[in-house]
Amino acid sequence: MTERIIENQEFTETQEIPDLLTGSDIGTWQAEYLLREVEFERIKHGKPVTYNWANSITLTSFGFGLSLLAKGYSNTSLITKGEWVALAFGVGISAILYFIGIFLPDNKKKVMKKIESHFETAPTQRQILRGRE
Amino acid sequence: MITINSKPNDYTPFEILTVCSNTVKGGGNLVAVGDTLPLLVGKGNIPQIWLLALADTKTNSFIPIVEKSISKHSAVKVYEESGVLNIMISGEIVLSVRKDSESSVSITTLDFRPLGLNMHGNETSLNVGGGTFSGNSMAGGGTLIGLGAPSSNK
Repeated sequence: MTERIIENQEFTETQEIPDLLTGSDIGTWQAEYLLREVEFERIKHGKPVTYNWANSITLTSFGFGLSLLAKGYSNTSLITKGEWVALAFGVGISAILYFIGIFLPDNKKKVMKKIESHFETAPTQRQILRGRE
Repeated sequence: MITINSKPNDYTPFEILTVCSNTVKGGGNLVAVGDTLPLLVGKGNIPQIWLLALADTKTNSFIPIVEKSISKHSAVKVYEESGVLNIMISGEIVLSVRKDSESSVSITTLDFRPLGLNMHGNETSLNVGGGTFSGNSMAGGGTLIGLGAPSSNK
């Protein structure tokens, strides 16, 4: 960049400087959430264990249900009473486990709520960047 | 937003504004981007400063960071020290203003690079873009330095 030196002049008109802007501006930022390790662990493993059991049983029941669908597609009478009972049992058990899970302390949910409320209330601010050459 | 045609109601310019050895006479402005005036220095017991920073380089829109010498941002500090009003951003002085008399005021330190403007200077010279301004004067109440400033710049 050639350096222009303008000295001791009398101006009456604005001096136009094409490279007046540095090209940087000030962006927005929001205070980050300080995630502690214990909270990370709670997110990872904080859900009540009954949820995991319920999920496993639900998936197993769903698989079993699909095989029953294949079996009884043309004729439902091919499905035995025992098979219906097993399906109902699986669905029932997982529903109960989900229900129990609602009343157990859910540390993951607590942490997630805390993070959510942080981002809802933390003010968004303008950040001043260093616009050095 | 502060523009050439809409300045704050409580802004009264100094007759003589000295910016890093350059003099703007007749109540003129130092710098304009389009018709926006990023800096105003108005009369007051201590000089009243309005300062804008570039918020978006695409649209050249500005946001106020100092209004009437009051900081509008937590990273911006405005303080007076032995008759000199300083504005500091993230620990570095971007503007020092000294009132010389009821009608004249001097900017002794200026560094608008954190605000998105390629301007910095001290008591002897003002560097703007690729140019160095020293000892110049601007008469007629116009704007000394501009980028895409309209021709009627009073």
